[in-house]
Formats: sequence, C-alpha cells, structure tokens
Amino acid sequence: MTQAKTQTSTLSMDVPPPITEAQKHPLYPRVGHDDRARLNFIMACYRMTANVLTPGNQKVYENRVKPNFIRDNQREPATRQEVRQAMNNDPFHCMWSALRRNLMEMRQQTGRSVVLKQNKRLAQKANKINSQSCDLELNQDCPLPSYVAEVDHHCMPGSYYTELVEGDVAPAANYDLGFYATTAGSIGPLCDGAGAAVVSWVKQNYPDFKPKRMLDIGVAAGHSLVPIALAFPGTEFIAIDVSAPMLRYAHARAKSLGADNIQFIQMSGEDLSRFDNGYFDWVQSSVFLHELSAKALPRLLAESYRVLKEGGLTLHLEQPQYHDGMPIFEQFMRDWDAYNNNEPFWSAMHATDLDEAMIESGFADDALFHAALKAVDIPGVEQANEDYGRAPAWHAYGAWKGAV
Amino acid sequence: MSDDFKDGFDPTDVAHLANQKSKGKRPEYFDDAASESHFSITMALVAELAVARERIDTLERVLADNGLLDPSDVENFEPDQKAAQQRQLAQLEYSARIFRGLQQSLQQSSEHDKSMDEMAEILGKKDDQD
Repeated sequence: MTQAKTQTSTLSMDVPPPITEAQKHPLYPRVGHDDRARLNFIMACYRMTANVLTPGNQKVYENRVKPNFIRDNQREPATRQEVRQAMNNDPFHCMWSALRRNLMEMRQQTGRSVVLKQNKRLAQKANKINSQSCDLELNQDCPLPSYVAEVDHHCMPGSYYTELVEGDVAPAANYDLGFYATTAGSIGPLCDGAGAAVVSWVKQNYPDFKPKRMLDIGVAAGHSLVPIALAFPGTEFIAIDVSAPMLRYAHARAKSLGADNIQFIQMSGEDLSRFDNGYFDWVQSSVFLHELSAKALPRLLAESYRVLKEGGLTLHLEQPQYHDGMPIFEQFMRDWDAYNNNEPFWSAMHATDLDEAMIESGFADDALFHAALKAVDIPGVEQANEDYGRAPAWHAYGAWKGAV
Repeated sequence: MSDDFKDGFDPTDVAHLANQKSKGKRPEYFDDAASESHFSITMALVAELAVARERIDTLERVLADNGLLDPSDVENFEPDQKAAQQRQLAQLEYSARIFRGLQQSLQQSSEHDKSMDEMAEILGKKDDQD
C-alpha cells in the first residue's frame, strides 16, 4: 500500500529532510536504521558542502588561482578548460572535489548494499506486478549503446542495465533510493518534480493540448513520467529505455502509484522504426540527452522529429546549456560532473547548440522555444541555492512541429 | 545459502559487490594514491560515527518513550569519582590506540632498527660462525 505523505515537512531547505520523508511505494526497498542514518549523513554532508564549501571555489579562484595564472601567462584564463586545469592544482578545490566524489561513491555503496541484500525479493515483487498486465515489453535483442556500456554514469557500478539475479530490478531500486538522497527532497517525496513541473507548464500555457499519444525516451525508473501520465489519463504513453531492470521497476512502480496508461518497451531512442511517421502528439525526454554520445544525439533527435505528428510537441528537459555569455568560472563549475561524476558527454552536450541540433533534425527555427520549468508545490524550494545546476529547476528545449 | 538470506545475496557477497568500482578512470585529487585511500577511509569513518551517533540517539529516544529514561538523565549525568576515573582511563587508552603509528615511528628512529635484509645478513653471518 502506498503511504501517502500528507504531512508537510517542517524543516527548512537549509536542513535536508531525513530519508524517511521519501514516499514509499510497494517496490521501494526496505532500509534499516543504520542505512537510513548513512543516507541522512550523506544528505547533510551534501547540504553543508553546497552552502559552506562550494562558494569557496570561487574565492580561491579569484584570490589565488586566477592571479597565479595571470602571473604565469600574462593573461586571464580564456576557457573553462583552462580554469579547470588551473583549479585542479589548488588544494582547496582538490579537497572539495575529493569530498564530492567520495560522497557520490558512498551513496552508491550504501544504496547497493541495501538493495543487493533484497534483490531476489524485489525481483519477485516486480515480477508479480509485471506479469499481471501486458504493457511491459522486454527485448533481449535490444542493443546496448556503447555510451551506456562503456561508462557507469554517476559512479553507479554496473550502470542501469547489469543483472545479477533473474528478473533483477536492483539497479533501479538503488537509483530510486539514492535519487532522494542526492536531491535531498528538493524535487519532492517521489522525486517527481520534473514531471510535475512539465504538467504545470503545459496546463498553464496550453490548456487545450489533448495529446493522444506521448513518447518518453530514456524513462529510467519513471520518476518524471508518472506524474505526467496521471495528469493526462486519456493519453496513451509509451516509455522506452535500453535497460530491462529499469523498465521492470518503472512498470511496477507506475502501476503501484496508479498510472495505468503507460506501455514500457525496451528499445533505443536512436531507432524508433517500429513507429510510423507522425505517430505521437508529444515526444519528450527528461534529463536524459546529456548521457548520449555526440553521434547518438542527432540520430535520436531526427527519429523524434520523424515520429512526431504535425502540430505535435517535443520537449527535452536539461540543465541550462553553457553559453558564451556565461562567465567561464561558472561554466567550469557546471562542468564538474563531466569529469568527476562519470558524465563524459555532459561537457560536450552542454556546449552543443541544441537549438541548432533541433533545426538539423527538421524543426523550423521559428518553431523552437525555451522554457524555464520550476518545481511546484514542494515546501521550501524557493530558498534553495541554484548551486551550479543542482536546483529543482529545468531548462526545456521545445518545439512545435509545423503550424500550431 | 541459508534461508536467512533468501531475500537477496548473502552478506559476504554484498560486501564485495557493493564496493565495486564504477567503470571509467577515477580522477586523482591528491598527489599520491595513499592520500586518496586515506581520504576515503576518513570519510567512511566520519559517516560511521554519524551512524553510531544516530543509533545512540535512537536508543535514548526509545528508552525515554518506554519510560525507562528521562531525556535529561543522559545530559545531566555526572559519574561518581570512581566511574569518572575509569572513563578517563578509557579515553587515554583510546588516544593511545589512535597514536599507535606515530608513537611507534618515534621508537623506530630512536632505536636504529635494522631492516629485514640487514637482519638476514647479520643472522646469516652468525650462522656461518656457529
């Protein structure tokens, strides 16, 4: 049974909520006292780091790293790469980076030690729900793209796809548990703030938009999609991902949360050939594009364009791109995850002109728009620091196909 | 595998698997590998201390909820003289354990310890003399 959290947290955003504030659902892993304490500690440590230590990077940059660079080169650093090179020799920055990296590794270690003790039970539980309906389609032949196979994103050992037991859902359960810890409740007790923000934005700006079919690419555990599916009960949702464990978990989780209008299919967004041209009224991805390689991104955008109906909506949520107007120090800070959190394409993707890429995929340039989406109805988020892309806010790269 | 662990992997497998490294070269933050390890160990210890403190807090609250402890009892606790001395002795022993490495490094440099190679040579010569 779903344990609804009706009580509003009394803690302000400067104190992260305890892990017990995360909303449980039937697939949620059991977490013992000490593992809860470990996650609580990690959240508190992240918050302290963000509020107290992170600003120190700018301080040491202005006070010693930049002056030393100017002394040695007779000019200021010109690119975020030069800033990174110089900062990587600074003892404060190195210590701060080591701290952040260790917290991520500790978060993974804790999550994995929780879920691996119950991976068989969780697999059975998911399987029970999965097998009650025919809207989960796993395809063993689905190719695993090299950008997923070669690197474990956000230091997640085994990534999204590794299966250690039959019908494994452990990678997704670990992801679910850790998502609340790394966002410290800022995107809601179900970590569904991005989806809720999309719903609020669409309903506010396009109240007459009544999509018949929606495609979600790279659905992962379905955190962002479930609130959208619940808000559009008459819409048929198709959610795709290359990872079977994520899909099994996402399917069972969505059912448990009452979303019954999503079909989950194991397939890559780079090849949508099973769908006819113009099959969908809405095509979306949520904080997913940055995990694609430089070659995969245009392929995926072209396929997304093809399957979108005339007058249909495409929406890709991401953190804001870097742009020339952004100070290079800020670009460098936003780039940190690429090098330290196993996000190799992060840097390249964020430097890509996504508008240009979307035009190349087929959209008219006057059909493009950007929208700033913010988490809605989450207590205390207004007070949250932006923290170089870690705020509960998303940048939507959107377009309407043809005439609206 | 015993029935105790039928929900998932047994603890030895979990200990091994949960510690696996993620694919991709780990960045270097310090000048040498030993410092990287020391920092990771320190962070883990710091976290485990937080866990122990949270557990003690749980115990105090459970005892208080069950009427077995007045919440102010712990805060206001003052040991009698004998107990206070025993506790200080325990603090001293604890400090000694922490400084073992440092203390031993001083002993080594002051007593001109021989390396095992030197030892083997000396003992070998003694063998020949016997």
